Amino acid sequence: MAGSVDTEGFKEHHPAHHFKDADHEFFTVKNGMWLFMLQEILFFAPLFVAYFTFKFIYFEDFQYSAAKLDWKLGAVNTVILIVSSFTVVRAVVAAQRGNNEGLIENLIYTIICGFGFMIVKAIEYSSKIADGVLPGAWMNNAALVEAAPQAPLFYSLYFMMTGLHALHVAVGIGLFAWLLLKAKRRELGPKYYTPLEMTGLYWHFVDLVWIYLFPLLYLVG
Amino acid sequence: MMDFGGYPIAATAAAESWDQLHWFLIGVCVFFSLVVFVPMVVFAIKYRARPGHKPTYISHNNALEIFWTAVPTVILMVIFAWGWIVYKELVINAPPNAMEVKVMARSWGWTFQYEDGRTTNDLLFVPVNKPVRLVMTAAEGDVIHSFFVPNFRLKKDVVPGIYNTTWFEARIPGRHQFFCTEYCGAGHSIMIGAVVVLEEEDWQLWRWGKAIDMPDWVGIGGKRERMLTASQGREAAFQVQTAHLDQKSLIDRGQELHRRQGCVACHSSDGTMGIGPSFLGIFGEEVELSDGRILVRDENYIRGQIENPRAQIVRGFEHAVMPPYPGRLSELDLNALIAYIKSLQGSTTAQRMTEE
Amino acid sequence: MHHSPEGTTYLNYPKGLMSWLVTLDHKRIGMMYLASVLFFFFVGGVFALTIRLELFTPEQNLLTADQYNQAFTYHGVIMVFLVIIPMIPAAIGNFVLPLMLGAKDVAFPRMNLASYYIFVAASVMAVATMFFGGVDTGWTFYTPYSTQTQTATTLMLCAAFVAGFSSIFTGLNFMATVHKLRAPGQGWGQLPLFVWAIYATSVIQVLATPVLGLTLALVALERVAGVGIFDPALGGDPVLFQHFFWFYSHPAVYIMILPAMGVINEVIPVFSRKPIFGYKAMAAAIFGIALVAFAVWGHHMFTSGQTALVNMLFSLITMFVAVPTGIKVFSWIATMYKGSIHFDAPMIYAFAFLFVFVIGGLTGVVLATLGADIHFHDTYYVVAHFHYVMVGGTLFGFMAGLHYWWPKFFGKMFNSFLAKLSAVLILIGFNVTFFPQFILGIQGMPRRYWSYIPEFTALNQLSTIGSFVIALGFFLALGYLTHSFFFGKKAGSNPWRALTLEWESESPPPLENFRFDPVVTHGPYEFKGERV
Repeated sequence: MAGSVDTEGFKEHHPAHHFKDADHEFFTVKNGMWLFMLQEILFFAPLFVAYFTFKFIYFEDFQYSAAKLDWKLGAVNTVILIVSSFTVVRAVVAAQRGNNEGLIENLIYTIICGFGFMIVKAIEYSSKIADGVLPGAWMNNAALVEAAPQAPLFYSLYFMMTGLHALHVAVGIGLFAWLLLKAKRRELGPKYYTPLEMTGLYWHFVDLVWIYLFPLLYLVG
Repeated sequence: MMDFGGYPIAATAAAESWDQLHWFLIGVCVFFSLVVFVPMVVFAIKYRARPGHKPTYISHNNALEIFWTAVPTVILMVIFAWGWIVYKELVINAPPNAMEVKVMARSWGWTFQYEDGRTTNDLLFVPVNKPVRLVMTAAEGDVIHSFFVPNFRLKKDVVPGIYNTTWFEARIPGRHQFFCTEYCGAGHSIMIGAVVVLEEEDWQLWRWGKAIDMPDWVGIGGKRERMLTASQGREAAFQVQTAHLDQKSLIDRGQELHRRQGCVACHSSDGTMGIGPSFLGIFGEEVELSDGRILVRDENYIRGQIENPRAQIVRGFEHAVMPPYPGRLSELDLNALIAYIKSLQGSTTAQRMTEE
Repeated sequence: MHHSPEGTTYLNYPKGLMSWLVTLDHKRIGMMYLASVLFFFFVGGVFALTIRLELFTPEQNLLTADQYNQAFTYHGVIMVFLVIIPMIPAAIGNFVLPLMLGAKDVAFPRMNLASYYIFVAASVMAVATMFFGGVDTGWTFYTPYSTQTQTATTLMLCAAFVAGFSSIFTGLNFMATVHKLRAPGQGWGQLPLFVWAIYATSVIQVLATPVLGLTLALVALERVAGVGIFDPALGGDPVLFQHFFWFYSHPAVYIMILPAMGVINEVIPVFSRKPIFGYKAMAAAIFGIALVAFAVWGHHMFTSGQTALVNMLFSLITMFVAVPTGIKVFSWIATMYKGSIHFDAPMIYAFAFLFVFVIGGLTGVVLATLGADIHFHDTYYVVAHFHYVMVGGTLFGFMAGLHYWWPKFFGKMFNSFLAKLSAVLILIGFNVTFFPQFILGIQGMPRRYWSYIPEFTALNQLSTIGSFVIALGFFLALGYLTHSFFFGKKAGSNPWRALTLEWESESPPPLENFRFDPVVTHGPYEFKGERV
């Protein structure tokens, strides 16, 4: 399979009328995708700034609260996301080579990883909820507040940062399911795999955000 | 006949400095307006399209472009520097001997608390020619307000949970209008009052709870008679309320709280080291924290430590436990405690002198 | 490859209401934006007049305090988020930008249509808040007031959040379009300055708007779930909100003014029959402003209690906004020098823009001066300043652009005399309305007051009278433009003898913009035929 490119048997894609050709379309879409990710970074930015601000002001409390997070679950999720980034790359390579089975296989792996991440997240959240460790005004764990009065603020940030990230993961899973459907219809081949490439970029971004979140929330404490 | 008022009176020395800066700025504005408007009008007339008139092809001129980049930059730096100087005089440079007044804003009114523990609402009484330092905060759970005295060119936001400070030294006796200038809801535009600047004799009378005549308004345009009549309708908004309910001074009240709230169990007032640091001579002094930072223990620090003791713990006290007090003390109690801690200063200075 | 039949325009081909509602054509989307923006301009204007009527006397008479607070909130939210921000980029820019690049459409036409409907959804939400108790936070949504007030604030926060995404997608789309869809022969140095301005605006939209979006979401979460980030009672910091808010909202004022500068960049050379003076410096100045815009937000918070050092730095950096702005103003004047100036309506608006914008800009320097701002902050001086920039700048720039491209939009000319008359009326009305507010600010009248001390009466009355003159001017414009839309004289493809690409196509242009493949052979302002 290596090296050989099978371009037969894929549905033909017509670039939109205002593009010169398929390449023009591909690079324009890619340009747009990079711009989109630029705005994504700034969308996350206020939460990071707020986190650093309050971490500086309430250093002890934040350290204390962070130590209560389960770093093992966080680490499992880090591994899951890194693996899924790898399978996405393999999916793109498979599409470029016209290997539709390989594409479908790797998309399925990626979706499984996505669900795996969400399940671990759900386990983590439910244990927090069971302990009454909830954001802000909902905080219902007197012992924690006694030890670290600003713990509610930490958990507000924890839930919002990981929550916003999980939302992005969920959107990613949806996109991969859509791509799986496309792949089954043989719409993604060596000549046209734009949506796959773009979703891949998005997925790497989501991965990258987690790479920052994990040490910041789980390990520093 | 419409009366547009006039330029507001400058009732402090800082306000006069502000006025000089402002006249300079007006000059700069007029000058640059003319630099643009005169050529604009002249060109519009001289180069209007008409038969036989042809435009000249000019695309750029480097020397000219560098000139009109460099010259404004220099002027802007002058403006900036002057602005900074005035800001320092207006806001920062409070003399150390300033009389201190605690300001508390709430929706929608003002409470002023004096060094002797008395409070007044919506009228701030101060002596003429004496520097006054305002330590301001908003009631807990309230919104942001802002204290603005046009005659003093003075403004500072009043934020819940934070002490903001500013100062002034009024030169002109009389009533000076103040406003709330941070939007705070339905009562925003009636959250107004006056700084009542008293002559020295009147101030002494007022301090001892004697009746005094309210001085006249010092209008924004300086037209006292007109201001007086025009403002009569609003008198009701800020009736004199010199409350003599609590004759105890702030410091006395703070001392009582220190004992009653149990602070004394860990924090001595005589320099003995307990579970926590002694309160003696700490106010305004630098201290090293457990994480190596060095900061000055001021009002905001003490307030923050009362509410969240673990936040900025002093080196050597990492293992001390103190319950946080958010919400357990009222704003007035916090003020009192801080005033008390502040009063425990004289003896250290004496101590230090003997050491030296 | 050019599909539209001879003799058809984008207005009549394809036919039918549905073909408009699901159109991917940037020109139709631009015109739909134009219609929406003008509608909301009317609504926002009614709120403005209501405010001015209440302020005609110092006492409360027309509105209660709550109604007044809602009126200025709606005036602000509608004018900022639904009018001034989309007014030039999304409405005029959508139409003109691809034409100027010789492109058939923007890079992502579907996303363009989506942006429009996101904008509509945001508008509907914003209007809906009026029926759920109204909003009284001011357009700035300052915490903790915005987290405490018992009104439809949460819905309004969502509306502004959603409107932000419309703005982000438009900016992203325009950036990719400028990157990838330029005509052959059109390098960055051949781009019309309007394109440069829209491009710089888009950069700000993409980089700043997400911060506002998330910040407003945090305020909404604060209201709904009590997360506490901005709530001092829960350990949060209300001043942090101000930092986040102004990190967006200061660049946002350049989102508003840069496109207007772009329009003036086109109008002045065309009606002076001369190249724009200092093209490179002009393009650099646009980017200079956009860049500095991100580092000056703290000048909105000089009295908030941030440290003196921070205040000093923000005051210093803010001064540098004035340098590129000055370059632009001086270059416009130099463009007129030895030109051949035609006094058509767009040029009258350009003159009005210059007059008003210079006053707005210079008073901006006054406000950037640290000491001076301590007195002026949150007084009518600030209100006057930003209306001189936003109304005088953006709105006059918009009117200049609207009249300049009107023949291209609809293929019709308008009554030139009435157009100039309305421009003069609006200019006079504007100055009568807002100049007195500078004096009120100097005298110390705080903004957002529904009742004021009687000393401020005369100037407020003058201001109210002026506001009705502005309204009169706009009604006149509405009249002759409507007349032109239906009965106007036919315009040729290039009535102003301009050199940019959009004038090479027919008026109005057909679907897909050009019936030939445009190639750029000369700069946008090389009026060489008139070289002496």
